[in-house]
Amino acid sequence: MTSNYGTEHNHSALALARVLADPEPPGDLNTSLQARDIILDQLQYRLGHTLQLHWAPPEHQGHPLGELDFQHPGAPARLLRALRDHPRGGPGRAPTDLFSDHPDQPLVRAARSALLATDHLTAHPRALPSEARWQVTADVADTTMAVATLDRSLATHPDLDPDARKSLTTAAGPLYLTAQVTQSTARAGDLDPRVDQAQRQGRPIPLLVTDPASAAEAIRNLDRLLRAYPAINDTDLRDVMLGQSRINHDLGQHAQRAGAVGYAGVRDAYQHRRDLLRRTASEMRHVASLPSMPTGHPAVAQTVEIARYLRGNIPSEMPRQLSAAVAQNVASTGQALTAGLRNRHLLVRDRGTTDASWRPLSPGQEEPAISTCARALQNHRAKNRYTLRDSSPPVVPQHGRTALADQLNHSQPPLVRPRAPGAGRDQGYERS
Amino acid sequence: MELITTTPPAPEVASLRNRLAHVSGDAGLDLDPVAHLLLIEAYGELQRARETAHQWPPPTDDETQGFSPDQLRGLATSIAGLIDHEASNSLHHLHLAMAARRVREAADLVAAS
Repeated sequence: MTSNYGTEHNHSALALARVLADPEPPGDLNTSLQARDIILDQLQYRLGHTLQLHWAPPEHQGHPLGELDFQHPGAPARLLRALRDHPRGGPGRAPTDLFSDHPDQPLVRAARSALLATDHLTAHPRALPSEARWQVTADVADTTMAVATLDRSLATHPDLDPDARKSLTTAAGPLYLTAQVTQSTARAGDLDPRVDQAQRQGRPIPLLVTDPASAAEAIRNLDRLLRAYPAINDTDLRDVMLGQSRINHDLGQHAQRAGAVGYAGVRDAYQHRRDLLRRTASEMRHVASLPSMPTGHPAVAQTVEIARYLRGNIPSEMPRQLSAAVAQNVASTGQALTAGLRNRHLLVRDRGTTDASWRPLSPGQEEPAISTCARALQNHRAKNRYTLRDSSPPVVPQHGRTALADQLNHSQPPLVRPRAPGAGRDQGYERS
Repeated sequence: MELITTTPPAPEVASLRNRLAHVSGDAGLDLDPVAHLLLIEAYGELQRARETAHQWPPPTDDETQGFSPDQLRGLATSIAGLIDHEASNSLHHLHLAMAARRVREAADLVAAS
């Protein structure tokens, strides 16, 4: 088979997929780390090459890759920064030594093909068709998600020193999230430079959650994401519901354990929302989206990011403080579902049918259960108000409310926080 | 009535997707939280690998089981097996593998909890 960018990228991806799918951990740690470093470098070079050719300001085009302007806006540039700053840890051997010493290891084969793919891509710097740049961007994002997944596996290797383990574990989540946003942007064909401009001017992106303040901001951001990206497919909508169900479940459980006077209403509100979301998520099996709908809505990544943080990180006041914002998320999810059904992006199937026939919801037709669920999500706050009014007055210290107000008013930086030039990449693993 | 009819996927693939839909669904709230989130992510990865959600038939009863670590590991192995038999390009390969990896991580968490 002829060697070109496409075939080498496919070879690399298949080899990487085999490593991830293998229940056994990768073999020798140093070999694995060096191969993984080479793949990361190649992803960075490829994305940098594409950015430089097509998005860099004219005065920067044609300059060496190292001089690329990393301040360029948009998801691909954020991914490029994340790739540049992601820690490397392998021994500083020449790639050719690695390839000759371990030619049959899948991860080494993945690294070799990744290097060849980059070589093909950069051999003819002006030959990339305009639509292909987005394909390359999507390829880089997909592979980066896989490398971040691999990092979580490598972090469990018994031979890894504790500092490197912590560095890998800490960095894998943000890298995956950044790649996920870029991937969904690329796959959605949302890559017109004018869209990049819109993103710079305030289109929201998922935020990293590291503390209670950022959790509060991320919950508010989830609402912004649902409004800013109105097209959401059935799977993503279901996953947003399940993630929110998890959030309401965990916050409600915590409110119940707290047992303080006045928490019964808060607990009931969370449990009511959790049950509504569970029912609606279950009904989503009778809903499908048009084949043209993109996957990877940023609200999914944000929901999972919030839910992951909340596990074991719920200060005692948090359930009460976040209840209104979480309720707004649920209402917005119901609105997204209603809008999708109304504008016919989402199709329905009658209960009891076993074939794969779907129809859009038309005015005057018998209303399926999913419409009732959508309305219940949108209007659930009326029920909450009733529940809260019946409960005992909440006992919330004034300083708690002040802290909440501070948290909710505090604007968080975006997910990717630029570091000083050269940080991370040249210093190996970060030290805690 | 306006109908959109499509060809369903192979039964084995539909069954795996439906099993993953079940374990990542509302019943997954009873699992360890991170295991549940991993399964939700795995479902998303599987969907990315096969972006044809409108084709799936509804689950049957025998597909709505599988929360023990061994059952989850079996599910992961079956998803990984699709790489050889179902995947047609690198996008499929990677996302199937990531789905399998997440289900396996979830199994380990369930076993440890």
